[in-house]
Amino acid sequence: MPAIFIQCFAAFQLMAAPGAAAKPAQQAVRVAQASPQVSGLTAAGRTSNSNAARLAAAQKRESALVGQMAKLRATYDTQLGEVDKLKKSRASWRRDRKLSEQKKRSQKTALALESVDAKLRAQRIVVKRARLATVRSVEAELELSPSAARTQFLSGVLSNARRGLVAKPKKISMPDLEFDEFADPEELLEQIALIERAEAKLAKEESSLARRENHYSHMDALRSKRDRAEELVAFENDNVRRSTGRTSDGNSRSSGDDQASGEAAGLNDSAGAPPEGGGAPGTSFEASSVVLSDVVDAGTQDALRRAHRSSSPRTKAAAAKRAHQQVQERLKRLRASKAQIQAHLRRHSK
Amino acid sequence: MDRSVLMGIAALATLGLGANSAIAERESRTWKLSLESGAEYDSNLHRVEVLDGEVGGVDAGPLMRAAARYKLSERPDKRSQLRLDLRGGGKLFAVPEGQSENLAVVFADLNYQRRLGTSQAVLGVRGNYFDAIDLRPFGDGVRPTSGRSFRTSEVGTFLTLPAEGGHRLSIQGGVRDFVYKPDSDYSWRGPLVGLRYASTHWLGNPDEDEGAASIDVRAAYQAGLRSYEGRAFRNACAPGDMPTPDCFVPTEESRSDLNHSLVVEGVYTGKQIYSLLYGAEISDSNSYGQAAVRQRVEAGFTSAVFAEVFVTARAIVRLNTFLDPLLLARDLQNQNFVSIEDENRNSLSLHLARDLGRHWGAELRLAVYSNEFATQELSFRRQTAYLGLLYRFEEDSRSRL
Repeated sequence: MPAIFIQCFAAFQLMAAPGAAAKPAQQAVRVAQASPQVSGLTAAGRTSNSNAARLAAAQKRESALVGQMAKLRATYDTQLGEVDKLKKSRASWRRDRKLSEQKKRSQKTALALESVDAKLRAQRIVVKRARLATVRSVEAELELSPSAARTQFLSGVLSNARRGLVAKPKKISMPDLEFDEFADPEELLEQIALIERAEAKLAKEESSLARRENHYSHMDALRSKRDRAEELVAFENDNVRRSTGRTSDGNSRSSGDDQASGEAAGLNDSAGAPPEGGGAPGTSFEASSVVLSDVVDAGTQDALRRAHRSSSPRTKAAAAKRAHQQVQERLKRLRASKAQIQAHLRRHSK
Repeated sequence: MDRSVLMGIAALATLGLGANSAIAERESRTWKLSLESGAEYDSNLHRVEVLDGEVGGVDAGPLMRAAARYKLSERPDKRSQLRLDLRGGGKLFAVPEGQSENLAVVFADLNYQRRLGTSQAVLGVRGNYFDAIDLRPFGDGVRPTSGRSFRTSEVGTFLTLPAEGGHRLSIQGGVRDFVYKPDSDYSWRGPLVGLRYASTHWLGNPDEDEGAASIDVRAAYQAGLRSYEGRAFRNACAPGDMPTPDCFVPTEESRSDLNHSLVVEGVYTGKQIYSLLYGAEISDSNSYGQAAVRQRVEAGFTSAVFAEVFVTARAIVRLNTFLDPLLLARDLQNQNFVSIEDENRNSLSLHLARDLGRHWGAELRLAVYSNEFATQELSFRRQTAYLGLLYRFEEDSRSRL
């Protein structure tokens, strides 16, 4: 379903793209009269539009294959069910014949399933390539400072193309912080470089965690205050109690608490989670649990993973806060170690 | 019924907690305790309606409120969860006119749910109990009323089917019991079934975008059969005649209603929270004068305003349509509430809350109730102002991991 929306969105954007629907004759006139920068923009625009169209087509094909796959899987499951049912029934010639026929049918479906699966894998590679090409061309066009309307259109295309291109997060390796005063200055300089590299990555992660902590804390505060206002009314008995009422409807209304967030709370933590793959690498809680695996303790990693699945802002804010504190501590240690080595080097150079 | 429900809830709680205690390695346990107390002023403590333009017969007075709440959420294992919500509270008026309005409230809700096999589907059982009890520690006071206490309980089961993209669909079924203490004719019990849908959509990625917001959508439908203890009435007058008390003739049959309720709500949570809810209830009754369609629209807004103060504003508009003619009591002082359900009016409320440290909070609530858009003959006005303190304590076993 979302894929269909994406295609419709892409198709709509292509139709609505400023300049995309321009008549060829008019376009030719414009190119002839345009300045070098404008003509560059037009060429880049054509590339972007063509790549976006290719991506939309590839996504459409992928979506069709996904649908085909789902249908075949459902058929296959039904057929396997039939086979199981027949196996459990009383043995007879008739049953054996039916069983054999059913098995043949399920094998045929399995082969079809395999074939569609292979096509789907191949198509996913095509989609990924189309995404990469679109991202590259759109980014190149954006560098040419296009018009505001065109920029807005390109942002939409870029956002769609980037979805699904999230790179696997890599953990931040912590350098050795032991200070060896007998080490060569070259070795110490190398150690400083490693510390600085880790420090930069950690600082980036720290700022991301701080942002998440603020965002989700605010969200949680808003929700808990709203829930509290409703709770006060419900308990005061000012509400209709003809049906089960709000008091017992905490499942769906209350969202400030982890245990009360969403239907079948807790067991369904992933419900309502932010869209996966929508963010840049390293910005999601799951990615943080990997990126910071050498930095935070096991409990915090677990909290980050749980925060990724949870729809509760409180859980997310708490996980971000916990990780943020540990990252800050680690940063302090890195900086202290760097300062110690730098001081030693200064003394040594004198 | 209520006793059996209470016993059922207690048994489930004991079973659940006992089973959990037996498991050495709990997945997690979170509990929360909150205590609150404050003073309030009620400008119409009997919640009476008066003929338009009149002011006599409306009593006002201050009162004290206190309440406690305990919430427990425990996961015996990764596949199951137990939740317990216990609340108790009361209000005591400081004026003799309000003594018959003193009330204590007890509420218990127990919910156990378990994921089925390898699927994401969740099967659960739940039971809840709510009891509003008349309190008369200082006698009946001046101009006592018969009170509006009631008791309601429910046991049921539900199946939740989550789907990708944050969609959840729940099917539920159970039995509910309602006891209207001042008049048992309005007490009822019966089975109910329901369907509930909820989903969350995100605008932007909240992990990286400060302006990201979520939209929660929920819709619920419930149908319940209500077998009343009282008799059903029939219309003994000719169609088109002016309804009089003589028109209402009791029959041998018990009153039985089929109740449908529908709620649709959308909540936008960004820098502020905006919410809109539409609810409708249709009561189809075999008793003359009881069929009704009740609709309500609620709009809410929550925002941080200044000095870490959060404000929640809420407006509720109700529209009740009675499908049969209604009798209007002429003697308003002796008019009794026939049902707790019909006393609710349109309201506008403002709730201001500020945390005072990690555990404490202060809150102020101002509310205005009115029957605008309803009957033209009678007027209902009520204002309340509440100022209180709240203490919260929370413990999460996961944080110690």
